[in-house]
Amino acid sequence: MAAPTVNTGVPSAPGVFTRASSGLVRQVRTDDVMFYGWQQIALGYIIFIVAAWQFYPGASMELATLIATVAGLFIAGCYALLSMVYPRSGGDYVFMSRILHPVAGIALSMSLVFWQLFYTGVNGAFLAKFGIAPMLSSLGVQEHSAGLINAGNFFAGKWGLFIGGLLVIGVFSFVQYRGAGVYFKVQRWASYVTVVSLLVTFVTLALAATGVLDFHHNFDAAAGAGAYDNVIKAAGDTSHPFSLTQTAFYAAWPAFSLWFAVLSVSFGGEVKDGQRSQLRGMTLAIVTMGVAMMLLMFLYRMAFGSAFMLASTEVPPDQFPLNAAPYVNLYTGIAGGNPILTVVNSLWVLSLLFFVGASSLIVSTRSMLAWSLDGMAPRWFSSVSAKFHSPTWALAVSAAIALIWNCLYSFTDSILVLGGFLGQCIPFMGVCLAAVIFPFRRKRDFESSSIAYRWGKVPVISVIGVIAFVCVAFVFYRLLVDANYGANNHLSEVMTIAVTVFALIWYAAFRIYRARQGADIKGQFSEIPVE
Amino acid sequence: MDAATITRAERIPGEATRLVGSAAQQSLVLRITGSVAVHLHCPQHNVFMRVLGRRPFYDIDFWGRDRDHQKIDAFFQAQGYLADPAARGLREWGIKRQIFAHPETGIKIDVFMDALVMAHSIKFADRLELADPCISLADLVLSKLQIHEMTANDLIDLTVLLGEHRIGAEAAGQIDLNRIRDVLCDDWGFWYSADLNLSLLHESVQRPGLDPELAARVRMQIETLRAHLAAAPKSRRWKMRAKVGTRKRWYEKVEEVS
Repeated sequence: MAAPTVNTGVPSAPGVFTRASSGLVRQVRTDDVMFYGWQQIALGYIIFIVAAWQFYPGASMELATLIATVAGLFIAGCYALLSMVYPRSGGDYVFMSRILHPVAGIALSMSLVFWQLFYTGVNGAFLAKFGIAPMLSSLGVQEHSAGLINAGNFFAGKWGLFIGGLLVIGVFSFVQYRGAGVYFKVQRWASYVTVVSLLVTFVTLALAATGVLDFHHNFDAAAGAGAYDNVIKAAGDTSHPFSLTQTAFYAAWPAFSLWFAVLSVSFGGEVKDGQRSQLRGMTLAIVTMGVAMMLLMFLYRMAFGSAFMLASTEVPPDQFPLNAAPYVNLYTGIAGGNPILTVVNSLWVLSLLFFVGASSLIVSTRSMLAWSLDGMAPRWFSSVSAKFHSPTWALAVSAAIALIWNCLYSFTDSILVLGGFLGQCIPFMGVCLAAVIFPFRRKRDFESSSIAYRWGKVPVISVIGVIAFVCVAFVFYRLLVDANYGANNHLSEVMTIAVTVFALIWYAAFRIYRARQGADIKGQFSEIPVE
Repeated sequence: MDAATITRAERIPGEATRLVGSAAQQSLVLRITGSVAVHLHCPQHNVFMRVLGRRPFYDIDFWGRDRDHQKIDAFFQAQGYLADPAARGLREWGIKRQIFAHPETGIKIDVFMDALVMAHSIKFADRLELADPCISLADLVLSKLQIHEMTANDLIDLTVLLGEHRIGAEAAGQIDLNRIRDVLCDDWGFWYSADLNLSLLHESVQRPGLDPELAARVRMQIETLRAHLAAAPKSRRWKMRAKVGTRKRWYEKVEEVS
């Protein structure tokens, strides 16, 4: 900054600056953005991602994950670059309402929030089904304890799923009521635990892959002599030649996990060095978890055998020799053969599945705040606690919706794992489209921004947007036509449409209401919202 | 400079002192910091603030305690100050700060709680009773030395402060060397920034135009402080950070409130 001019006395010296007022130091760091991305990605989903492999004969899990990772980086490029222009919390709502149209902003943001809350509710059930249950089953097998195995099966049953959901919703509603700053500190420490546990898992699997730990022998010891070979025999020939098509189709599964790191834009205004932190944090989250996922998939196959993995998920439950679900974390526990190691290896699964619900709550509450600040939602959506200044009503509404989803998942068969992915692909496509047209629709904002890069005459963000859009559109199409994903189940399709219709009505109602109050809606949406 | 700006600037020291007194009557501890504290701490030399071309006051900075944040909020609102919407969300994100503005006088209030968290941090929750109505001299000097991008106003404040008060022992009404030493000898980054700022100050008071007696006194204070800091033992934390040095950024980046 240039040195100021002073009248007399102390002349300005080199290195002297001007400053209008006291600034501040934000508390959320780049690594917090990455850790948040880890929670949204929820590497623990690998449990069912791997279990779904059976539906894609000839697919390479690792290559599919690489495809999803690269696609995720393009999507992250759209989100991160737009957040550099609009560094405000409520991220994608702000992009879409200012670039596409306010109605698109509300409709797509509401869709995202609705389905994010789906996963707040459902992820608690995932914690029980894919985290707690396999850990207890594994311990039960190792300790020859019917009690532990039964406890594992309890958590995989209706009430266990419900309790898991209640735990996630209750704990994180409380933590976030205490303030987002508190939540991010808790998230940071949980991420350190995740790293340590994951490293132990890599080592355990590597030892199993190299024969130091003998999974085949341990499985037979737990399930009966010859059990391992019998499972493979029961499924028949599961080997298939490599298929790039099936690999591409299968890529939607790891994409369901990896792409969600971009939602850190929901708290974009609160991050230190916000402009660069989002790009760095998102990219690091997708790359680190993409690599971790590929490595886990590879090690699982080497440690347990591809044929066994496929066979165990294909055989009917009554032909699986253990009284537990055939998940890879169960096998990791069996391979390790030690209860303490089982618990340590389970920690990253438990932690990541536990925190997904929390990360979704952040998206929901920040979006509601952004709608309210724009006058597109009741003022009480943005009312805050006197003590902690956290958005109490937004949290309460979010928790209530999440609880409904938790009940539906736990006690009915109307919802499947990827049930909420369809509805979330639409806002992804919305942001990608916003990235494509931004340089043309908001020419002045683009030219004066720090992202005004071009390849020749073509804006870089537009190119990134086109590639990202194609990737998301492909997955969206696959979700619509392939029943294996479970995303095109009746309830999901109905709710995707219903939420969009609801949002359109909501927008119309608030627009009329605000116009009657004399608000300048058009002018408001041409500005960046107050934080 | 317009009349309103001059009037506001003249009102500010009195308003700051009044607010501290009113708060005390409600068992609320607030202490004045920043340039207003420099003005109040330096009755003999504060005339140099205007002479040297310092920008007139337009805001008052206070230090308070985080456990009193709701009382602070209620207190300033009762005094006619409105909370700044740009700062409304800070607390939720772990930033202990409140900002207010008076709709009629235009005076802006900035309250830091428990710690000044800027380019470097200064914890002060247990130090508010050391002086009244301002923060202690040592903490005031530290609050200036922690600045990463010094302005001409900051240099003027330090010039006046070091021109009026000697560095020595708190009990003797001086700038408490022990406090400065305890903070800077435990935090290499803060020490480095402080040293850079002291060099900048030393250079700035050497230029022609400044009262020679004042300049000499300030230079002597700087040299005294630097000598003491150089000789003081450093903590293990300080030494380990010193090994990394400036290869890694040694200060926090300070951003705008909105």
